[in-house]
Amino acid sequence: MTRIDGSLVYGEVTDRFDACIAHALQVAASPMKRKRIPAVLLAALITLLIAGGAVAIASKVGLLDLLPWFQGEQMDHLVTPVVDQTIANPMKGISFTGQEAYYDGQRVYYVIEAVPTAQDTVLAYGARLLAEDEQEARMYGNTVLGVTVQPSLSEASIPRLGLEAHRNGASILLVGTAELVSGFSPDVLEVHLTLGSHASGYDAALEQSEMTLRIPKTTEPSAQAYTGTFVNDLLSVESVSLTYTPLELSITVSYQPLLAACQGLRYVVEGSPVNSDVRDITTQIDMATGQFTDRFVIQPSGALPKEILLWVVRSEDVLILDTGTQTISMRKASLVYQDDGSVTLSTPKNERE
Amino acid sequence: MTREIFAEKIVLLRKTLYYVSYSMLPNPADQEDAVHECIQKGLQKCHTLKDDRALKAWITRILINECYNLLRKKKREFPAADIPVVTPTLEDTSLFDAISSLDEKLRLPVVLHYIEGYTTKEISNILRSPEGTVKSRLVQARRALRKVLEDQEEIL
Repeated sequence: MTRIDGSLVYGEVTDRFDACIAHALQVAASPMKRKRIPAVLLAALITLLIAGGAVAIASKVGLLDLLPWFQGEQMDHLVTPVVDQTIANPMKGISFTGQEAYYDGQRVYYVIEAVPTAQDTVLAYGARLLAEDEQEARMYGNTVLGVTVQPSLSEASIPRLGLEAHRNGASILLVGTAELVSGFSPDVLEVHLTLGSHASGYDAALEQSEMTLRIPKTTEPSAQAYTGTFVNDLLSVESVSLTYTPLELSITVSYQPLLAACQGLRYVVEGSPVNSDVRDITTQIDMATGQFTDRFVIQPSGALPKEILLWVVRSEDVLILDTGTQTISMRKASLVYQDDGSVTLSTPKNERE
Repeated sequence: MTREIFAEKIVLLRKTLYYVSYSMLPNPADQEDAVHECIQKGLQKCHTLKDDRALKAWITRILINECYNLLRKKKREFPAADIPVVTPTLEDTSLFDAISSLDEKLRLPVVLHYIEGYTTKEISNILRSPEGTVKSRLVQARRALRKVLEDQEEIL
């Protein structure tokens, strides 16, 4: 295949496009002439608006490892860093280890890590992901070993039991979650896992092993109140409370609309969940009620952020919850959506220190 | 690189900006937004560019990032909306249709390699993907293009 003339595909560059380039060069060359959006226009634009949480991922630090740091003594009872685990018949090529677990009497969550024991082995979970890894592994002559896990609980009354796989360097994190029916709440929950490995191209499992995780029950943490104020053109935030478990982060914000035009309108709340996967949360809220709550699903083995960001869409005011000091502050910044789906802040030039 | 030289070179790279933005964003208004942002960022940072020869790859990378930013924002604002594809004014749009039908991860390497003439190594740097991945995507893209073009011929 030879070179293709781009004009045969996309046509000639349009005059409008040329004008756009000329305009961009002109505007950028005279930054002092940049116009700010007038307040009236801003008021018209705010039919969108308010808050969400964004956070960064830390793939190697266990979530439970960070709980004591996050909420101090009050969270100690939540920590279950040591998973009581037994494993029968260790398999060739893969080692499985229980990394962390949480069980509050209603919900259960656990992470086990599958690590290849040979350097040139690439792990693939099931058949539904990592097709590219498999393809590349073939190109470089590596061994591809498939991993399967079948979870079950000893008790029968489990409405659902989910399992997800996530890449973590060379290893795979297998994250299981389940919600138990009400009234069923043993002090120690046993999760049974049937582990399997198979070589690429074979349908049947070549090796199987059994693993049992015993997870003691913990209780729900209490909510933390944050102090501070946040005021911009649109609203005044008066209080924020935050509740955290290894499964969920819940933020409740009480606020006062400052513009009459805001009252009674419906707004779209946007946010990215904790741990930065692109899984947008969009919630309709009623500004007149003066309160909204957002819940963010915690992703596996992610660290809690030092700062949680709430923002007013299309304005440059970002509200920052400092999880260390439990205070609210505000700074001028705009959001930048990164290629990996995370959100970072870009501070305007005149605000930089 | 000075801002003046940057501005001169950008005008010469207008076709590259046009093809790359068109391949990622089907709507002319979005293409213009992305290119506008890209040029502004380029002008702010062009003094950090030591080697003028790296400008084309550098500005292409910025433009691709801007296109991704715009796509994400649109997805967040109008999650359910389908963005209509604006077809260029051409007598024969079979090549456009064929390339547009490719998945984005295949389409971009095709545009960069076959239209812009980048080597797989250069594309690997621009897309921050391993060179092997770029090569395999080009293989997949060629296969898919061949099939689409053959189907088009059969219909005609």
